[in-house]
Amino acid sequence: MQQIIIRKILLGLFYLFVISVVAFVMVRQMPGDPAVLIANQGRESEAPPEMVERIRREYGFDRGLVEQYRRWLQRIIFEGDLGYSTRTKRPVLTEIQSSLPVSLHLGLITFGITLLISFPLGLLAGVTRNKILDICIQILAWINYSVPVFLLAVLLIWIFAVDLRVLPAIGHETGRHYVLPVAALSMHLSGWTTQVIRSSIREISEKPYIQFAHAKGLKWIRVILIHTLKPALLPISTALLIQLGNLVSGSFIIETIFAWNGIGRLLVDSIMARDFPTIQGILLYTGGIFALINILIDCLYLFLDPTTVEKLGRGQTS
Amino acid sequence: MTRMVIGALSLALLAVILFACAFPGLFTNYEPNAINFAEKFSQPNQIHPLGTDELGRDLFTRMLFGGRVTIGSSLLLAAGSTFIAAIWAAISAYLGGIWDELMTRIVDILMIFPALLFALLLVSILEPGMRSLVIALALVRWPGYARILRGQIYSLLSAEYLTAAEALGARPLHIIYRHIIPNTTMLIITLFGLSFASSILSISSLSFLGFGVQLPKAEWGAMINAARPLLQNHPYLMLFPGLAIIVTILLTNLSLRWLEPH
Repeated sequence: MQQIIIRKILLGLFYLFVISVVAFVMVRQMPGDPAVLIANQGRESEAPPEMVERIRREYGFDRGLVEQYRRWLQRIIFEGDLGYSTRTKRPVLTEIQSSLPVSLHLGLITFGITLLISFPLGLLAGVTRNKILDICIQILAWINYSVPVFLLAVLLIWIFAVDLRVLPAIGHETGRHYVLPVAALSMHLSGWTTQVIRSSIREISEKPYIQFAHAKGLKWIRVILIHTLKPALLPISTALLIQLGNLVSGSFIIETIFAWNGIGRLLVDSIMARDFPTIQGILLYTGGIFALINILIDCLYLFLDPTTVEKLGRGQTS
Repeated sequence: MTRMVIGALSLALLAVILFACAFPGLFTNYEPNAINFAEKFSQPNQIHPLGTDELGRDLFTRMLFGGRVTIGSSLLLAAGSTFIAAIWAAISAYLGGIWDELMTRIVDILMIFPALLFALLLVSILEPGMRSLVIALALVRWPGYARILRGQIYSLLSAEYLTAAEALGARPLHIIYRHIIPNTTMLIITLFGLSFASSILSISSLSFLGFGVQLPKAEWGAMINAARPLLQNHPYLMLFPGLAIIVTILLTNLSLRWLEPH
């Protein structure tokens, strides 16, 4: 078991290495000369060529691609240093660490609320024998899914911030600031998760052993909690954990509308300014989070489903 | 029974929307970008069924032409990513052994790429616009579908008739086209439909933020963004494109539920 986890972690590190190479190469394919952009920062006129040349040497843009990558990776591994942002001149790590918590908070709170909404609904729709109730919950879920987050956010701002003036629309200082963004995101997301939970539960509740459990007179609640829910938890948590990763990196639509300084906004600003070190840093950092989530999913399987250990032990891929 | 009715109705309505957006010229006599200040902000009336916007452009016409962009690029995106995924999965599962391992690993790596962030980076590398957006999103999306499809095809390959076909000397390409693809068609259609629905969301969201179409071209997400400052007095300018997005996605999902074998 330990061996498998160690192998998974090593594999995760290898994936991160690949991400770092791809991010590094991709960033350098962007049109526009970063040295010129840095030189022109805060200037009215075009920067003189010798200044551009000096900046190019200073930042190492004149070296070969491999050489640049080697120096970048070396500093990350040995000093834990992602370099300096060419846009704000602050360390990239500081930039990321000041904006990632914003996205993480938003993502985790949204995730929690989404579960609170969709778990009871999905479970109910999955186990009920009442067809109409099942269809009603499903249609409600599809409607929730069909409303785009940005449209809902704009409407919520209009109703609660502009018209009724009861909630703030911009910023993330207090708990009240979280209400509208979280509401917009979790309504959309809960549509999808309700469907996932419903179909996982439904699939199991139609199995013969569930009918047998009912037939032998077990209490209804026991059949649902022990016999149905427990085996359904594994596929459900896999699907949800993947969604968590997307939520953290994908909430930048909400971040832009509500003017939150999250990781997505930081990336967009950095792309506009051709801020190579920050872009690379963000992609590597979020790639790391995704890799971690994947390792967590694998561990979850190892703990909850003993047959996985056997499969992995025989060298099969999951 | 209820499911049949809902599904068939959804599919029919969806077909109407697709047709209207494919041939907007049949339903309107206006140009989507024709400015007419004399008629700006007219409420929905007989000449302009959905009213006009701040430049006097006919909203119904812009909805149709905007739908052509939104739906057209979503279809392309869904088709592109499902196609790449299907080919990749079929080859990977069929070759098996070390090649399968390698191709699965590549998909695994691509899966942990923060998709939306990489798509944004790709868009900025290609020139900004709808075409780049579709290409970028297709490139970050296919690995997810490939993983699902590969699993399906892999279990299909253990079927006895495939062993028989191989024993009869069928070539790999023949087996992929004759046996594997027809047997996974339903799954591919479902994936395509789900992908189409989520493509509409991505395309309109990113256009809303200004990453897709360039003004003054109509697109549902971009139209909603343009209507934001006018929401207070002219809510219909946002209401109609918003409804169009919601209804199209909803109808797609409902039709899919109907097609699903039970």
